[in-house]
Amino acid sequence: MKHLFKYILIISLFFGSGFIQNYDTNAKIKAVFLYNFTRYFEWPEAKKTGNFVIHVIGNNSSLLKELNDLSAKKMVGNQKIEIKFSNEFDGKSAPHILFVLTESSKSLSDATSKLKGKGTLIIAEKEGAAKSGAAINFVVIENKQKFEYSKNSAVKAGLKTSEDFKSLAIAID
Amino acid sequence: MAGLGNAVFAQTDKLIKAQECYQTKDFKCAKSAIDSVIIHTDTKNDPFAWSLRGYIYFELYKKSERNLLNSSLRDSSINSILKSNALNPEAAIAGSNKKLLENYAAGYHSICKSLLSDSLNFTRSLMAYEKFKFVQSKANPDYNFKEKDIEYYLAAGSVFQDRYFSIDTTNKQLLDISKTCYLKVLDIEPDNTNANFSMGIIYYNQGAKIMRDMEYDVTLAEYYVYEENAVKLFKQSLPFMLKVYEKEPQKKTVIEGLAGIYDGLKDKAKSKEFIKKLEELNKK
Repeated sequence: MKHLFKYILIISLFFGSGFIQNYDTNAKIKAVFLYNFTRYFEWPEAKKTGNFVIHVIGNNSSLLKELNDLSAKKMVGNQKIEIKFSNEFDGKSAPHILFVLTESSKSLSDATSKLKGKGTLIIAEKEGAAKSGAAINFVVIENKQKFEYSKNSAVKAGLKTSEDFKSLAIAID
Repeated sequence: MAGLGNAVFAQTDKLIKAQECYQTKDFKCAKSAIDSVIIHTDTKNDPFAWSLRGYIYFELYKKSERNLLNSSLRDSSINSILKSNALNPEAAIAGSNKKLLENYAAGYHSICKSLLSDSLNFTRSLMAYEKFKFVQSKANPDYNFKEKDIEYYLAAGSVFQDRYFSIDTTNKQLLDISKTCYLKVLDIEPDNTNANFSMGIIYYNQGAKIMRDMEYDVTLAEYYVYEENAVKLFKQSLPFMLKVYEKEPQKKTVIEGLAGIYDGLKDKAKSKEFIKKLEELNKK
């Protein structure tokens, strides 16, 4: 009994009370935002059948896990969510959402030119991206997740959206 | 006078009787005799009589009330010993008294531990701990409780923290108790590594849990409420973890913790800085 207290303490510090292992809060946030965006945009008729494709350019295993979890639990209207991940954008297909991660931002200009008018919502997370083709750009302001929105880019992509959405965002144009 | 002399002898006889009964382990007989001795005018100020009463009640307590938090037999025993001590006993009696008080203190300490780890009853455990401190201070007036206090509150904090995060995350009371205990430690010793680390973990885990439990289909308006609360918790976590880092800049769990906290605060640069430090330490 003498060493019970020390035993309890060691156990808890090394096991029970540790950090929530391998949990990336920012990956969850991105998944929540991406799913939310599907509510505010209307995709062209041609894209209202088949799977709803979210294509991520870049490498983030936590985000992949979250998006796979999202796709298993949710749908966009009647469409199943399909998640694609690749290191580069090859331009062979036009997903519903193309999310270009920070480290892959060099793919952004290529993607915006190839996907013009093809009904793809391009999302980035790079300073100035909303002014150079992305319809949505994630930014952090005072520890909070915000996003910039370029209506012009969304319209050029062939997407329709409501004015409500603009009020939720930092409007660029 | 002859009558008075007889009365004194009668009380002395009863004290002898109490001793004999005690030695033959007839504690009921011993109790009856000693209870008469300590109320009589001629013997009520005899430190030996009070000490003997303390030991007789101790034996009775052992038989029927051992390990109970509240025991009238133990209370009577302790009070008898304290009364004996107040009557300036000779060294041998004082030594016996001290020994018995130390025994009771150890007993209370044992009860407070089992109430904590087996029953998760903090209120009763704390009562036992306070009784331990009272009795221990009577046995050893110069006893320094700082180390024991830290040990007790750290153990209590970790028991309730584990219970909350591992078993019952709906019971906020567990977490409140845990925080109270760690803050108590930090009152005593502001730089205590374990308490600071644990407070950092608690706040971080609460923030991360909010984000983890959030549904994918919350509206953006709802999301901002979740985020507000989580960020508040990550901010609360940070100073505790930084304090540990000041003292132990090479400790991997702390560096990992800071990387997580800054990530929660969406400070990518800082988070990466600590991830890099961790990678460098892992290379060594």
